[in-house]
Amino acid sequence: MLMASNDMIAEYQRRIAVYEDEEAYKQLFFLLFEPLRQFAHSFIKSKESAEDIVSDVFIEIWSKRSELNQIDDLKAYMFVCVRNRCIKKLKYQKQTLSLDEAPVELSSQYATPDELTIGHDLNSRIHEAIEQLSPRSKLIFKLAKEEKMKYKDIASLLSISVKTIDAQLSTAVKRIASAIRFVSRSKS
Amino acid sequence: MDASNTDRIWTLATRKMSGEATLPELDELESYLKLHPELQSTVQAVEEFWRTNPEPDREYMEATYLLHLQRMKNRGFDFNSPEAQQPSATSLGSRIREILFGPTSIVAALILVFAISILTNQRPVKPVSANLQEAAFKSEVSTKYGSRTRIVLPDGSIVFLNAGSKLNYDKNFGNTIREVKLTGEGFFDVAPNPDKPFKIYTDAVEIKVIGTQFNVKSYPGEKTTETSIIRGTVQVTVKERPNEKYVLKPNEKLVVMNNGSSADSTHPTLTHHEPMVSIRKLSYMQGEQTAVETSWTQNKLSFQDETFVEISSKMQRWYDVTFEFRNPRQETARFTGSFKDESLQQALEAMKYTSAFHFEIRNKVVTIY
Repeated sequence: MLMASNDMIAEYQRRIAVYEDEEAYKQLFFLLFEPLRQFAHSFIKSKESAEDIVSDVFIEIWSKRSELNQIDDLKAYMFVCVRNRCIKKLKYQKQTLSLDEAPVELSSQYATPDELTIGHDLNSRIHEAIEQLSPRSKLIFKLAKEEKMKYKDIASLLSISVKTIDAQLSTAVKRIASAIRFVSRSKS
Repeated sequence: MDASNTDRIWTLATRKMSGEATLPELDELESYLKLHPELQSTVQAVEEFWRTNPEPDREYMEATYLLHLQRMKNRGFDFNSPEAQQPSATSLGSRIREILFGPTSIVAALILVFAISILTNQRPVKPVSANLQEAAFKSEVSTKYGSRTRIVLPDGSIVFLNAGSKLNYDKNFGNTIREVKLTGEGFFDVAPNPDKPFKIYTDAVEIKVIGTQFNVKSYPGEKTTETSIIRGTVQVTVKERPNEKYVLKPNEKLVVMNNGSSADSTHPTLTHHEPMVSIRKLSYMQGEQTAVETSWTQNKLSFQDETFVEISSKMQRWYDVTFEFRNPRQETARFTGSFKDESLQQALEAMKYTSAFHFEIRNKVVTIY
């Protein structure tokens, strides 16, 4: 009976819109704040500014709660809101949003040993492989793996083609697979 | 195996993990892996890595949320403090944030408080089952005949309480457990929380859910206890058959025959061949979006192919009257219909069109003859 996180988000969205449910709003915050903050931090160097941008998007969600039901995919919508606010902020600083300088961090880099099912050695080899990806590839990889976003949503969020995403993700996975095979060969 | 073949495997495996693969692509990947079993374990390891995503630290999130609430407050959005949301038996009024059906919330709250004293003095409910201790359910909300209400529980779950019903819950509700006791009829919209299942106890059944919308009808003295599902899935245990669990899906209802109800003894012919427990479909009126079972939450009194006796017990609660049948033949006459703003007089006049009967309303007693 466990619900997938996307179903949970849709359920929280409905409850906020229909009942002004503060508890559902809190649960939504717990699910999405950190992914959105990390996404904002890819473009905005200041940690505080990135947090403020995401907090502002959450405030906007509450202030527009009665219209929330009109949004098809709340998570995708909030990522777009965060991106737009980042662009605005950068424009104010006479900068543009660049995917090629984005310092992307993967959450799983901070996994504690008991959260890892694959062993410490293997984990660090995998992360070495990921570190060698371009910032753009890394961001795509993070959005697909950690945020479970669809190719078409990543494509519209980052203004790149689905084909590019397919190719870059496959390359990333292939490199991870090589790292895994290297470890298993050296052990056997 | 050449390089382009390996590339194809990783493209397909990536699409599979991202949920982007089509069925033919999944088949293609499978046949590649049959040809190259040596890659099997690597693909599995990659998939395992893909699934591993650590949760953000709970304490960090709590602190971040408090900061966010502070920023919201500065913009004029002030959430209730956690202290104010603690349920307590002494501050019943504060638990009822919104009353839908009363003329004003204050009047309705007064009626509710008044109703509680009537219920406790004059309408004692049957003793609860052994696994429940009365002391565990300290907070109580109830409705008298002719009124309905909406309750927001401390966990954010919403309960619509139909007329002549009662909901009890513990002051620890939401902190460690989510358990309520229902007498009468309630429509539940349970806030999702996989860690704390929501449990509802009635005289005849126990219902366990995670997050869903459903209706429970369990009036003392009625022939059946009904659990009707609108969204999600619930699990029901019938007290008489503790080893069986019934899992219900949307648009289904579980109908349980109540033991020794007064309806049984008065009308043995009505219940003669009915099974003790049955799963049925919800009924919908032509052109209606809302099921008959939950139409009361929209201020509608609906019935589909029900006997006059069954309808009269609904009308008794709806209009706060009692019924007397002078002619037994009229008790079994069947009706289908729906009332919204009609008065009792108008409703009975409308019913007269489909079945020949006379009625008289005097001092809150309706006589059918």
